[in-house]
Amino acid sequence: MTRSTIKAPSLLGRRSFLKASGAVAAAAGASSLLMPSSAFAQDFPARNMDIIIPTGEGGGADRDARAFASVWGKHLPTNFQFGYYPGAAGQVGYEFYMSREPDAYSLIFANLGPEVIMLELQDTGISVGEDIVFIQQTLSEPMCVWVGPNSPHRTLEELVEVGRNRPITVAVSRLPHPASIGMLALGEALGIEIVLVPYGGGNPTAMAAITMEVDCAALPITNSIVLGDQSIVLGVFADENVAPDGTDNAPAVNAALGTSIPALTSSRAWGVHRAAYDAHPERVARLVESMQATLADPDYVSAVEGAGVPSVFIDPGDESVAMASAQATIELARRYRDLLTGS
Amino acid sequence: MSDEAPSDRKQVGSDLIIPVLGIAYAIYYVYSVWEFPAEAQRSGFFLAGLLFLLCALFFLRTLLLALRGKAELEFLALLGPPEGRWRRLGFVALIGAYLLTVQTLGFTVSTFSFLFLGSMLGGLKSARRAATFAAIAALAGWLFFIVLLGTRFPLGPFEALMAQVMLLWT
Amino acid sequence: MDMSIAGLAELFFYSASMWWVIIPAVVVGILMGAIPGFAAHNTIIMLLPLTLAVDVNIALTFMVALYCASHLGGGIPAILLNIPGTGGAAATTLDGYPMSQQGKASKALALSFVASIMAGLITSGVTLFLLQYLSQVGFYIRSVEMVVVMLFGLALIAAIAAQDMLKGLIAGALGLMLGAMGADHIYATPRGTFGILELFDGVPLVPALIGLFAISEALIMLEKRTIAPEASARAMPTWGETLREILGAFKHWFMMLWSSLLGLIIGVMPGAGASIAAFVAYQQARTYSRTPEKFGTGHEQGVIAPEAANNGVTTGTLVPLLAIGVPGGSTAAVMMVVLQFHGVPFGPRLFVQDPILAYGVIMSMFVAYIFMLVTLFPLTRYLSRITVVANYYMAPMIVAFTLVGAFVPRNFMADLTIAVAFGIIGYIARKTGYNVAAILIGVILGPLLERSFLLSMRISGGDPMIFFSSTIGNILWALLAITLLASPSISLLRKMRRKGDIY
Repeated sequence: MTRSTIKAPSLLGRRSFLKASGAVAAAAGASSLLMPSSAFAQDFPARNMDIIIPTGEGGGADRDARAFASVWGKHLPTNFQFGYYPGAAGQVGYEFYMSREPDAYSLIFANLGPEVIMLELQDTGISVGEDIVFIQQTLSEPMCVWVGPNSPHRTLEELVEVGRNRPITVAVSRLPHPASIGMLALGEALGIEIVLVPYGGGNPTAMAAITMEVDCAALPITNSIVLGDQSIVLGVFADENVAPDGTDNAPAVNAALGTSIPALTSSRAWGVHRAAYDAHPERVARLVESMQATLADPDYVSAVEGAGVPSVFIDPGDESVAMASAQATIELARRYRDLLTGS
Repeated sequence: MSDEAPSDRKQVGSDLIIPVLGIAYAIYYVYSVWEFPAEAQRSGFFLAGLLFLLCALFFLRTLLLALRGKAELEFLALLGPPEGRWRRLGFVALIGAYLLTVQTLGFTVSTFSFLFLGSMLGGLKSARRAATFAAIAALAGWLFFIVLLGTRFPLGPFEALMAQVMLLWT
Repeated sequence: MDMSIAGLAELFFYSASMWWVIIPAVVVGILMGAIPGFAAHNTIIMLLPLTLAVDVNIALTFMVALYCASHLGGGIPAILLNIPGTGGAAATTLDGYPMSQQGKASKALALSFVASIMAGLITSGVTLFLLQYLSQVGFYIRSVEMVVVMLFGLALIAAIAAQDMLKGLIAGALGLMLGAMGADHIYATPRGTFGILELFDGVPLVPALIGLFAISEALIMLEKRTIAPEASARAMPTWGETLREILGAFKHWFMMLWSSLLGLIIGVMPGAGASIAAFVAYQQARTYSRTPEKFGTGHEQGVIAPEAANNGVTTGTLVPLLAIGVPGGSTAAVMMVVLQFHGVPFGPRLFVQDPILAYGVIMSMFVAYIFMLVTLFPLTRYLSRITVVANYYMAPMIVAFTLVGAFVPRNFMADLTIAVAFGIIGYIARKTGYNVAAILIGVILGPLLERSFLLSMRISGGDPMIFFSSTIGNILWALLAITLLASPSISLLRKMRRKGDIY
């Protein structure tokens, strides 16, 4: 339903609003009247693209997918319909995606870190590579640990000091998540007890840190950048902090504490059914070509920044890069399986 | 809310259905989480226990009534007054048929058929009035839900036909 | 974050100049609120192409007006058909529908509309002045306090089960058991789902609501010719009668004030929502009423309390988004998408960079409620006619259209089957005296309670004393105890007084 090609015009008057609403209603009506019939398709795409988001509306995936689609329409002239299928750490979205027709008209917008870990740890029967191929990576961001503005802990060292006397409570989005792995690895390296408290999404996790229900939060770094003054980043799970401006110039965790935790990132990537990848190589090629054109478009940089995400996180990568990133995450998940599954 | 029993003896058969269903689900639930970590089990075990306790009290109460000869095992009250009972059962069957066919027939055709047959089963005598009502409501629903709001409800032959008409028209 | 009176006046006229956005939004909102399944956030998602295309001021005004109006609309089918349009209107069925059955539908509608609009005006007015204090509520209500708030809501099960306590409690426990379905909050492993993917995220609320209320009601409707007694509702109320009914609603002004403020506070709490607020408000109204036994039989205050509370919530849920930058509910989350798309910051930065927009959101809410006043008369007068439409038209139409509503939130075909399954459970429950509202309360509050409980226990390392570790929490516990004890003690006192034991 979402016409991503529509960009926000500057202050619309009453007439143009009414005109726009009429046009949108007509477009919505016309588009839903057009039956999906690939038999008549001259070109790909002959109809709307379905975008499956395995988390809720208003979350980070929604934000990034919309920023992408707002420019993608220039390079792939069609409409993009967004569908949200949250549940069971993303399992619902993935299983629902697998039930869709594998015709390259349905794509999943993946958050490679948490979702690949989920696919590895939960009994989904979906396997990366065999069932889903990630054809294009768009953004990558490191995990970070942060606190609310009123927190008494102002540095990573202070937080660790607290941890020497009592367990540290850490709000996370869910257990199968690179940020959770980062905190567990930190606890393991320093001999402190980390209690992960999964709040089931970025927004409630952030709220728990801001209200100081927990000692700190561990999330993808954009969450704290978007929050501005409401978060103080203490450390980044990366070799260096590439976005020091929005993140209180926080140090890399390893540099601050002398640990050697692997860099923990999560990448957004477009995924497609393996069956569609094999059966419709020309469609997949068209998709990849338009995605790469989008990533190279200066408008995409503005769209990303407009959504509050630093453009340094734009990290184009082809299929081999995206699949390698997924594979690395699978290995991490296997290493921390017991802690993440409660077994 | 219970229907009045015709005799002074309380009809208790249908009253037992909800507790029995509840206990059956609770047993299945406990079975399904048996090997899970404690945090995933805790509330299920607690609630199943609570449900068992309440249902046990209810069964005891019913048994005491029965022992005093004040209860009879009777399920017919569940189906409402005898008049029109078969029609209402037919309506339930029609809902089932709707669920089975909606994906093939699409919104408009299945809604029309459902409203037509449903209103007849509900007691509307005139087939012509039923057809008019069903046609108006189904078309209005199609315009509102499918065309204007663009919900992704299954499309069928009617929607395909209208798409062709639109294509020819434009 | 403060704003002067002159600034507010200017803002008021600015918002009022957006009448051409607010009026269509109010109409769409009332209509969509009245169709179960659509509600505000699904409608806003469907209309995203429109809201993303226009200027952010217009988009926000449109969404806010639609959001408020949808909560007013939700009460209409609750009163007329015993089918709540939104979860927040479930409590409205308890007294609203009995009023319709007695041929007093237009009176019930008047109560509901006046309560909704007054609550909206009161809470948006209060929020304009107290936004910065209200935003602090979120800092004091954490998982521990949420556990007690949920228990307040659950206490309603006992209250509405008064007719047959054991059956009511069984209905509530069954609802809680069904609510425990789905992935657990810590490890995300599916529980009790029969392996059905569509249940992995728990019982879907809208199909459950549609089944328990709409489908079961449609099956029962066929036993009668019309909802209202035919003789009593034949005559439509005159304009004069309509006016009297509307003015009559104002005598419950205190109940409106108290319930709407309760709704506002519950709305500000992260993760709470309109249904919890409505249940809690109903329960409070009943507990402290002089005539608690009248609740559930078509009592006026039983309509006022939940409707005032669920409209109070609409203001409250926007507070965390505006003041902290984290959405307090699903509708606020969709609004955040629009703000993000337009590159507008939210949270405290919004007040620094664009205070007009920030306060404008609340002001447009205030103005939208003023516009809703206009709809009061025609809606009250004409809508009650629905209760005299023959049931052979109504029942099939309710089933066909609410099943579309069951499908809309998640686009799963299985949700139709889930709705019908709940419809059969609801039908059996109604025919055998198990309260369906009690089942629904369990289904809604159960998972929220479990989540808050597990989070608290994780934070405390398994020490249950955490539930008594905060001042606000302890005050809430005390209030809960008073509430639970008040009802039986007040009725005991009355009984004794009647017997002449005390004076």
